[in-house]
Amino acid sequence: MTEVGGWEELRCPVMAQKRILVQNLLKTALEMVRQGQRDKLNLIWLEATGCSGNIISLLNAEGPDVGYLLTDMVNLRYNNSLMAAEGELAYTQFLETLQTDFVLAVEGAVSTAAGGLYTVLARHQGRPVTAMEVVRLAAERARYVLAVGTCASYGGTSAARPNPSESVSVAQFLKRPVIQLPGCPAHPDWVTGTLAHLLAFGPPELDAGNRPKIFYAATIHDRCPRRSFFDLGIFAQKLGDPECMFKLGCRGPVTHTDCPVRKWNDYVNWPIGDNTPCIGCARDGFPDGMEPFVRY
Amino acid sequence: MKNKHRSEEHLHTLAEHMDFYREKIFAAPCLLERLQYGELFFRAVERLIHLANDKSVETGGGTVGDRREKLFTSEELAHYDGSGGKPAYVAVGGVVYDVSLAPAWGGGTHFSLYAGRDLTMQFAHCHGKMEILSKLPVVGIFEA
Repeated sequence: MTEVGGWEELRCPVMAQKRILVQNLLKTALEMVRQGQRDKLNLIWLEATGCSGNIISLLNAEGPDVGYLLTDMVNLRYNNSLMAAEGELAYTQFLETLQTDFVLAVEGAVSTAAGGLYTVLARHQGRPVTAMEVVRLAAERARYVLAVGTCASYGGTSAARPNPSESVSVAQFLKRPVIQLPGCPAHPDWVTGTLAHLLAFGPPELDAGNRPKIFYAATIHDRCPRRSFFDLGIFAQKLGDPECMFKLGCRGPVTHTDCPVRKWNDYVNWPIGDNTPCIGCARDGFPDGMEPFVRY
Repeated sequence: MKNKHRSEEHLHTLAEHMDFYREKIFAAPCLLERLQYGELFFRAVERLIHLANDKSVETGGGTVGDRREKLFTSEELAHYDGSGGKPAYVAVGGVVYDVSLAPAWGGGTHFSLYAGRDLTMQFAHCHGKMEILSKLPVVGIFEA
């Protein structure tokens, strides 16, 4: 590995950020919490108009695992899937957390048709409380707002044609920029890494699309193990061939994530590693704009 | 005719060599050996590209100049839609561009648009600036 100065001359954001591995970030953050330098973050995680895929993905976190995250890094004050309280008691806890210093994570888009009644998050004092209302309430008071997953970041599958629920991204609904963590679902490391960075150093450096550069700087194409096939013009003709799947419709060249190096499910595998093309799930325009997923 | 036959033979031999090098690259235990075969493979590809440029059967004309003037009708253009590994061509503003290797055109499609069509309207609506087209190879002109 050459001297750091050499990499910085190239001005590659990926190499510069590589020094800050998620695990190092988390270790630093945890140390700071233990030494009392930083308080644990209060976290409200809302599941709006989505599939809850992102909270499920978070539960897959490995470096560190979600138990560690929840006991040592954040106070998860409200999340309908993981919290013990139910009903009015749960919503009351949400309202109480609004009075504190907290970070808001929203997964799923925000449905706006029929006054937001396509997504009801709670029932409070006899009336349904829509996702629209809850997201707005929480975002007004949150220190940071994270849009977790492609639906929250761009509308995603919830906003797919013809979009009967009139779902929109969190940023579009709030009419303000938020920290975007797209992915269908978002990789748990992208979430825990961003939370660790917020805890220890404040907001991470964001790109033009408000995504943390640590995770979203380079495209899949930039780091694909089949890239040399693309460069030499050698393409797979059907699924299962070991060559580049660009002509089969791979969206790696237009998708900015680190899937080739980080991989999924405890860093085991990823789509191209499993002989299927990338479908651009972390992209603005997914899924309609990324179709067809396979072209024969 | 004789030339075509000879170049086909040449192509076949080249393909056999490339298969052999590829096997060796994956199977050879020694890194230096793999690098060596990689080098040989790369040179074979260069010869392939050279061969491909020599063939003038597909393009219907020898020189680049001829290619740029080739007139595409809607039916001819529709054939080059990127399916089944075919080249992907799109027409914008009367010019036919080759988007087969354009990164945003995986599988010959781009944000729900398919190649093999006149996409002048869609281009104007979304991009507008002609500069991004200047990087694309031109393969002909289009008349609706």
